[in-house]
Parts: sequence; C-alpha cells; structure tokens
Amino acid sequence: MFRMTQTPIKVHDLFDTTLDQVGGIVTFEGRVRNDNHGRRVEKLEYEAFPEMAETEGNKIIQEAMSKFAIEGAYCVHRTGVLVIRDIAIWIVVYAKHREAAYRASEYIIDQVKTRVPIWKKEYYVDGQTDWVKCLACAAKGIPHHDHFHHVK
Amino acid sequence: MKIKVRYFASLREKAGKSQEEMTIQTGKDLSDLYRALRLKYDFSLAENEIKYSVNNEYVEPNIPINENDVIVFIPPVAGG
Repeated sequence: MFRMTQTPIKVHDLFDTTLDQVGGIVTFEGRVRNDNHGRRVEKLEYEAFPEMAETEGNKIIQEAMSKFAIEGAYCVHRTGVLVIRDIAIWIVVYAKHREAAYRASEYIIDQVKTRVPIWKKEYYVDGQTDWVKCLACAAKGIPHHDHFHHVK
Repeated sequence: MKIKVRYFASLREKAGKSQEEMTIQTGKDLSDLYRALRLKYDFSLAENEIKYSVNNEYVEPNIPINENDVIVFIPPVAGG
C-alpha cells in the first residue's frame, strides 16, 4: 500500500506484526537534511497531485510484489512543510529472506523518486527558494525527457 | 469544447492559480495546449521537461483532447 499524509510519520505505529512467515524486514527512512549540493537548507515543502500520486504509488508497490519474493510492502510520503530531521518518506518491506527485501526497498524508493507526482520546494537559509528537479534521475544520468520512462 | 487544467508546483506559482476551466478548439493536442499556456503564463519549463496527465493517468503529449478532460502538466518530480 502507498499513501500520502499531511501529518508526521509515526514509524512505530506502521509495522505489520501479523506476518508469521516473515524472516526479514527492511525499512528505508528518508529524512530532511540541512544541505543540498552545498546550499544550507532551512526547510522543505512537499506538494503532491494527490489522486495520481496514490494511484502511481500503489502501482509501484504492486510491481515490487510481482518482481521480488516479498510478503508485503508499505510506503508513506509526507506533504506540506517539513523541517530538518523530519521524515519525508518511509518504506517497509517484509520478506522471508533479506535479499528480496533489500532489493524491493531500493526498487520502491527509486521508482517513487522518478514517477510519483510529488514536488519539493527547498527553502534555503539565505532566504532563496527553489523547486528541486529529480535528483535521482540526475545522479543516474537520466535526462529529464526520459523522466517517466515507464510511459509507453 | 470545455476542459479543466490543474496546476501544481512551479506551474501553479507561475499561473497564479491551482486550476482553471477553459474552452479550446477541437483537434488540439496536449503539446498545443502547453505551448499556448507557456506563452500566456511564461512557464520556464520546456516541453521536453514536463509530462502529461489526463484524468489522472500519464499519457503521451500527442493525444487529442476530449470534452471535459482534466489535464495536468507534470513538472519534473522530486519525491523522496
């Protein structure tokens, strides 16, 4: 399941404790940090196209369920104003064995960063602001015209 | 025909609104519409930097627009 939330993510409330067949649980927690490419960040504002973000996010979860030998996966993403150390995204993957859980977790975060219609505005300590382009794509050398490479 | 356009992020700020309803000529595609709105609102993003959504699904830019479509131009995303 994928969902958006405007309230702080309380990680400990989100674990599924009913999965007796699970031997490995991998979590990923994405937090707001105080620096981006050398610029001091004061806070972030996440904005989403909510209807489509949840649809696309749930497609990603279903893809992960199909591609990897996992028993379950859940992802939640914050919107609104977040300050340093706030959790922006949290992912948990349940599997019988750890390898599939690690791979699925990485797949989910990579796909969320490139496909889900969520935007991030950075507020810098010097008073300037900027809408951030997809850093994951830039880091992997994916040009913006290929941003949604799943679209056929 | 009547359509609705929703704006998000940098496009929302540039347009100064979150959505608008408008009447356009039949036969226009999404690229045509973005070009016209880019001129109107001085959007900085080029056509190859955005993606297109119609009725909450990603679509290609050259599909024709239909009556009552809800259109969103998707700036480069940055979740996570």
